[in-house]
Amino acid sequence: MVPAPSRSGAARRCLEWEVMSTHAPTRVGASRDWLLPTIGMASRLVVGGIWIWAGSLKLPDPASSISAVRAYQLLPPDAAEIVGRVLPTLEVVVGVCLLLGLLTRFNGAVSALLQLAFITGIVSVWSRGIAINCGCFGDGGPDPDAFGKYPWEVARDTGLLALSLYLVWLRRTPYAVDNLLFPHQPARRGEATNVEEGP
Amino acid sequence: MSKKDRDTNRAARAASIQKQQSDRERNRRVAIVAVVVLVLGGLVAAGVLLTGGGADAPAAGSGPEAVASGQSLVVGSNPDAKVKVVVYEDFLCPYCRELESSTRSFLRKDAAEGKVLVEYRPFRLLQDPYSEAALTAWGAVLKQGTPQQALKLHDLLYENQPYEAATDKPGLTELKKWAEEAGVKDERVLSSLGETDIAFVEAANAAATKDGVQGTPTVIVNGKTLEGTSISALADQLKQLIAKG
Repeated sequence: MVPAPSRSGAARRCLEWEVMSTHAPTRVGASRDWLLPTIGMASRLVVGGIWIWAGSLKLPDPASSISAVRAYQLLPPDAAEIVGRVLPTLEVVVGVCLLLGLLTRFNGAVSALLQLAFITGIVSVWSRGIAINCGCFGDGGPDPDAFGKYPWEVARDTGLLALSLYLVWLRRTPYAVDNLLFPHQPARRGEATNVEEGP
Repeated sequence: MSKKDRDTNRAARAASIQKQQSDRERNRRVAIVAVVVLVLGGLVAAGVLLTGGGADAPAAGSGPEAVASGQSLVVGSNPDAKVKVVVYEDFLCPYCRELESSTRSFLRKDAAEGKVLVEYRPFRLLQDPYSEAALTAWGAVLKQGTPQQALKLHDLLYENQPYEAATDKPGLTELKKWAEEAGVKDERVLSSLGETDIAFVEAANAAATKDGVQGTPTVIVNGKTLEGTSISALADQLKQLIAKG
């Protein structure tokens, strides 16, 4: 059916969406079609949930958050103070965005950068022989058992880094605010092709 | 005009309409992204301000009366305050710094209002030479300067605390600068800052040993040592005990 000239942009997008969805299963493998987005949605919920949890534990106590950042003895003291003040709120905001699926790619990238910074920090204190609680979920401080915990903390953060990077690559996940703000558009076809050719 | 020409025209027009639409769509997306990013940035900023990020401890050393007493500095306008707090601390200890930043604002206010008498007893716990240098410099100001100057220097030492692992810790130059910032003008006092006053350090440490201090920070309220798993827990207990009176 040829769209009538009066058809609105939104209606046109709907039509394209229908075309896309009817064509998609034949173009992309049927199993991949639901599996990857579902994993993406799960990643959003896991990573987002952990950010909210970690951030909200630190939120009520900025002095302790600054102390935890300073305990790494890595950043110049002034920078450590700023990071300690900003981190808890940033974590909660990124977490809420991932949970809602708002600017998933952008927030996935922020999340990945933060995880990378944390992994660097933990590896750094580990290699310098400084034993501290990582302060990831509030209450940083000296911890005699720290060296037994560092490997697990690095492993956990590497897992979260991988999930965040997956969201950067995938962009689109089901039940995301992004899908309401940015309905399917012609450019999406190019992306879909990229996804097919992706690793 | 041939049919072929008409078709090309129509295709060109269709293409231009499509381009217009995709441009409009792109602009809409850019606008949404910009608004959302701005809102998120605003939320982060608001969060930082609301959690007390902007409101730091009050200006160093302002407020309550203070008197020197041996190796310690007693702060408060009411010598008979119901709650008497003793704080043992080391100028290089990171958790003393955290205790300072989470208790200073209410301790100074309550001390000025006569609800509490706070006695700061810095001593040397850590082996690093900076710990001794800072304590000695503070001791010189406590003995030869005014109590207000000692209080301000105490606050400045915590605000400018170096990392324990730092290789370039502040030296005599910085200690002098902070003493001047604390109001010390007398050149004789300033030049004595670098002289290690072993007697002062030993007397300060003896007081800590006598009170059974195991580590820093140690907070004693009316003779009873506060126990807590974290600095925030200590600060909360302290606040409640002062409120109860």
